[in-house]
Amino acid sequence: MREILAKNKEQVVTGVLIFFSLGFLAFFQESPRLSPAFQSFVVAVIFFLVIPALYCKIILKRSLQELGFRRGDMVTGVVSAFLSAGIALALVIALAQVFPAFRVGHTLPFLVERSFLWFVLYEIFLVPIVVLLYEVFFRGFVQTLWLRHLGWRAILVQWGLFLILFLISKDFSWSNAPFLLFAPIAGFVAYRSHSIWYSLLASSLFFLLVDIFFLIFR
Amino acid sequence: MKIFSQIQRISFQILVVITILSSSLLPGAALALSIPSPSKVASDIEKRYHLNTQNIQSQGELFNVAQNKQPAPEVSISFSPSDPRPGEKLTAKAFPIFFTNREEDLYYGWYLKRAGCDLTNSPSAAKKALCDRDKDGNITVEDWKTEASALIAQNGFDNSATSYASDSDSDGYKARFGGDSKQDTPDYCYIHDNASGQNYELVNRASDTSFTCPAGTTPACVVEELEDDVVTGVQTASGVCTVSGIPVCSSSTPSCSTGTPKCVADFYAPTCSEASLSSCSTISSGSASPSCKHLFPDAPGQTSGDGVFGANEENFWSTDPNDPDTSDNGNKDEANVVGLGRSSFTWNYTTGDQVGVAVEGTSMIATKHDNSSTMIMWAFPRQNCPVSLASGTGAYTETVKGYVVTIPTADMDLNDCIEGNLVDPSFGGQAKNLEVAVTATPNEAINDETSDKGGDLVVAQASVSNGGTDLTNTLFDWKVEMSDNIQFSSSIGAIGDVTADLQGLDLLGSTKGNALDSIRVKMDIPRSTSLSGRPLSAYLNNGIGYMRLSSKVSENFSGTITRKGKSDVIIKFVSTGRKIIAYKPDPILAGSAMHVTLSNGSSVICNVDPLDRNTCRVIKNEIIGLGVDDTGLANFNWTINGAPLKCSLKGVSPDCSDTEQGPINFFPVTGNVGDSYTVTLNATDVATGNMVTLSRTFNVIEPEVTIVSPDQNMVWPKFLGQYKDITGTAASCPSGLCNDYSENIFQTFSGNIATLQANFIPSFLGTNSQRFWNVDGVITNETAPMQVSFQANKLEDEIYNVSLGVSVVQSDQMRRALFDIWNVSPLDSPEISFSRLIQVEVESGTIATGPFAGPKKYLAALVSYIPQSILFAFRIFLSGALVLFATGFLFALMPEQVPARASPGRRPE
Repeated sequence: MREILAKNKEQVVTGVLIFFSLGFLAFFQESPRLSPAFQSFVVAVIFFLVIPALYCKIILKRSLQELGFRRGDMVTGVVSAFLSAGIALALVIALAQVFPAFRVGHTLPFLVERSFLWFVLYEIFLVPIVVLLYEVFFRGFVQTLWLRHLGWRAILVQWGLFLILFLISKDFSWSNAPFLLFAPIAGFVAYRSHSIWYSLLASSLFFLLVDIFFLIFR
Repeated sequence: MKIFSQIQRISFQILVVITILSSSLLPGAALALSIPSPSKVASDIEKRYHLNTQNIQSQGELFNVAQNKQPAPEVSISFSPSDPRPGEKLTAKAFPIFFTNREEDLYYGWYLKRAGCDLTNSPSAAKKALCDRDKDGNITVEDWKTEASALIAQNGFDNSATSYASDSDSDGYKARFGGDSKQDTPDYCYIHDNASGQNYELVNRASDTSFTCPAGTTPACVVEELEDDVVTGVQTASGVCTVSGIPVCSSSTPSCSTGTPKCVADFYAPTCSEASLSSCSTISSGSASPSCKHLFPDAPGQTSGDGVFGANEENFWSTDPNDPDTSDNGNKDEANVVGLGRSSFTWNYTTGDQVGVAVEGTSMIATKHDNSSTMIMWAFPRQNCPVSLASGTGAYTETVKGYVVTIPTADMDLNDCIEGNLVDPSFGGQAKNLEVAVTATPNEAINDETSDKGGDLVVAQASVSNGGTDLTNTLFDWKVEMSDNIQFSSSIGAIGDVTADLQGLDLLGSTKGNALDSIRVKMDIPRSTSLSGRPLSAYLNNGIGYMRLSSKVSENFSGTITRKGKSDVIIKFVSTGRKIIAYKPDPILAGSAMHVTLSNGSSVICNVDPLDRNTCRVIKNEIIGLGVDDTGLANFNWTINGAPLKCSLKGVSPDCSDTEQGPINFFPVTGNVGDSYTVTLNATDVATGNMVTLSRTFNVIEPEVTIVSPDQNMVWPKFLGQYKDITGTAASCPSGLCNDYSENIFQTFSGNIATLQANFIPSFLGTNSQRFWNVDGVITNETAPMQVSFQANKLEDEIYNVSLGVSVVQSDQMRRALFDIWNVSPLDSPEISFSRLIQVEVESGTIATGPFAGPKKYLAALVSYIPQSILFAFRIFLSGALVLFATGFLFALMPEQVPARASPGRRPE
């Protein structure tokens, strides 16, 4: 037993940290004195970005490249990013045709829908920042650092954790459907390119296209 | 024989002479011979029938001028409403008198002069558009008549879609002179001169009679006014002359019924030295040309009242050519135009409108013509149609029954009388005065000189009986005066306007404003208060003063006219510093019955809280004792809500007497919540003999308990926020912002000893109540009367729930006293239970109360100002660091993988 623990020490501790972080986020009680969005953002930054990075650097004493912050296979990454974004968009369009509630339920902030300036700022800054948190934690920390030895199956595991997080936090809605849908595809891009930069590119591009689609065709 | 005859004749003459002489010289009784004379016979007849010659002479004088006193037709107009508002329907009703016609047979020639439609021959284009109804380019009385007649004939008919190409109805009306009832009677039209009483026949030309006056003068009857000599009392000529009428010519001699015929240079301002008029000439009736003309308005080129009412006239009058009675009043259209029977005229009033009516009919005065004729006359509302408006006057003669009769004539157009007979509906005083009445209650008020503010509230109410506008457009200006005499005479005593002083004392509100038809004066004036430069005592006479409440009322009428009125009321007030004191009496056994007494040191109630000192709050089934300082008082008489309140030795209390009422009394509170008792004591001031009246009010309330903090350094009511003091007068809000504190939520610091106290309403309930404190579900005993304390050991943001249950029950003795004295069944005086619940929040004591000094103090202040968002992010970051530290710790505890050990038989390389 001791040998098994010793042999898998890194996986065990990393797993404990991952589950603790997900649990903290899922069961976090918001204070009524502050904005819920602000609280969620702060918690996500700490537990999805700061802790994985510090854990990698301080505890494991490894480079952040282990989290996917590396150049990787650029050609594969860029091609797969654009391809996956296009395919995922086609999938979203198909879903929107089948499920009218999807068209209705996927909403954007009022200012973003009415002001082009706000839309640009939203797509350039806010969406990539949020996507970055998910990419670092699920595609970088979970898939690339923790479950690298599982190969392509790590894609499914990180997707499963992603789904569970949304289920537990009762945030399973059509608004978050694109996130849930694109999680395995982003995982595939990261897996193929060995970098989360391309999955970040793919996710940002995908959400831009989806938002444009819903703004135009809803 | 001849000689004998002469002798006989001479003898007879001598005998006659002797007889006459003897009758005058001798006593009448001796020889009763008399010769009858006509005057003697008449005198005898007068005496026989008791005729007074002076009265007969007076009647003869009256008979001489009787024809000048005949009643000429008159008309008056009344308006409804009397105070018309612009746009409102206004009805003018004509009341003609001294006509022989029925009202419906008269012709009412109404005319309406709109504001700005004065007579002119050169009107502006705007004025033409507004006033020129007959389109003749001038503004004449015909336009005024047309305006009114069209309104009568149309009666609101909308002719915008009416075609006047043809006229299918038969709505013509043939008017008769003197009214519709005249038939085959000769027409003679007259005008009555009000000054002389003379009736002039209207003729086409006045030259039928000519007076020989010099050029530049006109004939007139001139009267010199008389004046009384103040010394002798004899009337003498004043030297002032006036015109009394126009002379008439009879037998070539001018004559006047009043005054002297003269030729005057100025008809309206004659002098007494004008030349006399001595001669004139008249023409015969064959040369006269009597003239009667209706005053009806005519359509251009048409004649109204001619029996023909064609399409052109229909068009002009905007009537329905297919409806003979467009106005649906029973008249044909042309009859409406001429005003047949239209004694009422209704239109939409506009400020400045003036209206009038010329009523044509047959008077009660017969003509001198040898036929059945009576005078046809016109009546105007102001009777302002002097014959001086005529182009000329004169007379003609006519032989009637063999006698030559002179008939005065005047060449006169009665249209000239219309302008002088306009009536303004707002005239007549109705737009001048408001009838105002002021009432006040109570009739006799009590002023409380003490600080208890228990004086009466005097309410003065002004009412306007003839207000024409809403109350909101009526301005009331009130004044309050005081005096020590009811005459409010400064020669008798003091009088002063105390309005501003009472307002300064907050005893009187606003006194001037629209719709301010009532004011309230709180009679809580201290005796030393300066009112109009004098103390209140200066307005008192043996404690009695008078207050006069005056109201000046004005209303804006029709935008320009203001009506005013004023009234006042005087009330008597008694000023006193005495007060009826309320007690909680004690029961005392008197024989077999339970009575009540104040002699055992009963506690005074309702004497602390200002609200209670004003109106004492009591609860049902209490017994209230009443007492008053009886120094200098006698003849007490108690009433409660107007009914006698008796206290007897046998039935109520040993403090009372069976023979007379004293300064002590008692009453049970048997009413329900919301009821009130007003106890009044009348007594005689022994020193002055005046009646002193004191009163006090008791309100029955639901008992209540509140929980307060006796030490607000330890427990304090929660600060809820601030509200703006819009009056700026609240003493507790010096900067205009008032702090708002909760009554149900308190705060304390963790670790504090929280002490809470029960306050009762009424306050005297505390002594006979049972209290049950409960802190977070734990029954807690009082640490002091009506107080509970506990240590707040909870953490920050936690709360304590503190409840207080109260049970109040009268003692058995008091319940028995209620039964024995007032027959209140014990079943009706059960215990009363009520409760109160509050919360105490525990605050962090480290930030706000920590006795820090030096850098810690500033650090604490700095921390208290850091935004919550920064603190939250910092806490999350610390949590992350802790997680990371724990993970590192776990990582360090986990066994390292042991490097593979070298085999024993193998040497290291």
